[in-house]
Amino acid sequence: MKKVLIVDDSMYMRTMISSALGATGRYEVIAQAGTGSQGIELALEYEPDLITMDNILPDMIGIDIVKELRAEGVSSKIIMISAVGQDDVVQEGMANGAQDYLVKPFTPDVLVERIDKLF
Amino acid sequence: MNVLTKDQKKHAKELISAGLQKAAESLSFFMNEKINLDTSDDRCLDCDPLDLDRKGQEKIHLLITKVVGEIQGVCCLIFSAHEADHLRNVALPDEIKNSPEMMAEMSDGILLEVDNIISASVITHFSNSLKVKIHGDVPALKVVTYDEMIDFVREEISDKLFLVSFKTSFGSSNVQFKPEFLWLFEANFIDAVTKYHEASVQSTKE
Repeated sequence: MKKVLIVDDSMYMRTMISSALGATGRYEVIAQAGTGSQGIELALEYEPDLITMDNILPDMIGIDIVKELRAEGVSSKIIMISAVGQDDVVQEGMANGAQDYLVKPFTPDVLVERIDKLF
Repeated sequence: MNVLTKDQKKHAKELISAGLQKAAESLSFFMNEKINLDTSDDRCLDCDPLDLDRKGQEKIHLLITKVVGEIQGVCCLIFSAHEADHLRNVALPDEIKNSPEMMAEMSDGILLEVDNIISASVITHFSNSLKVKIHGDVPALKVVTYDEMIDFVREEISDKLFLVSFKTSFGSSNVQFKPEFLWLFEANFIDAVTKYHEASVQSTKE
């Protein structure tokens, strides 16, 4: 069972992602964060197999969090999940340590398919 | 928009129309049906931002997203209480609707997420087309009267010197579901559209 940390300021999205991953039986959501600083703290504490990372959080930009986690040596797979879908932003996220970038909206099936490909 | 030439205005309208179409597609995802733009309003680029639907006597659910980055602006997604309830009913799964605790937490959350996603779909289109770095900030929800909403828009216009405004309304099979979508941009939107127009003319010549 892969351990997952969800970082997203939207409770709706956290619930949807958690529900979609939990239903597979292959992923266990071990922690959720609504802010970037919480996300960093929980990532360092739990060292999850996967982090789903929103890009616009109340206190930080997701790409900056990814950079910081990589600088701290966190090796979790990271999929950015955001409504921000500009070409340059997607490229920047991937260049700075995310393994994939999924633009909202998406169906639960697409989410699981994309995450399965990371392992 | 008087500072744009006829051709520039045509390009701006095409750009805005395509951006708003992306928003309609995103809203369709949540509503589980095709959502259309109100194409009868060909004044979308020259709209009066204070000429908004009263939505009867209902409280207005006003979702506000600031556009930040190389172009500044704000967008307002406007639902009546009835429209907001309809969206919640269609978009939220039964497991949430059947739990009063979860509904209490998600009631505003789903509106904020829909606003976040559909405004971002427009911003993404503008950003990619105009080659500018912009994004939508974390959205806010205000439940207000019609007059309070007008006061908010009036204040935004006077504070930020917004020069460009456009709006549309969405339509669905439910005739009572017609949320409005208002956008206000500062003058640098015109500069970006001008560059976009010049690049289009250049590529046509080549």
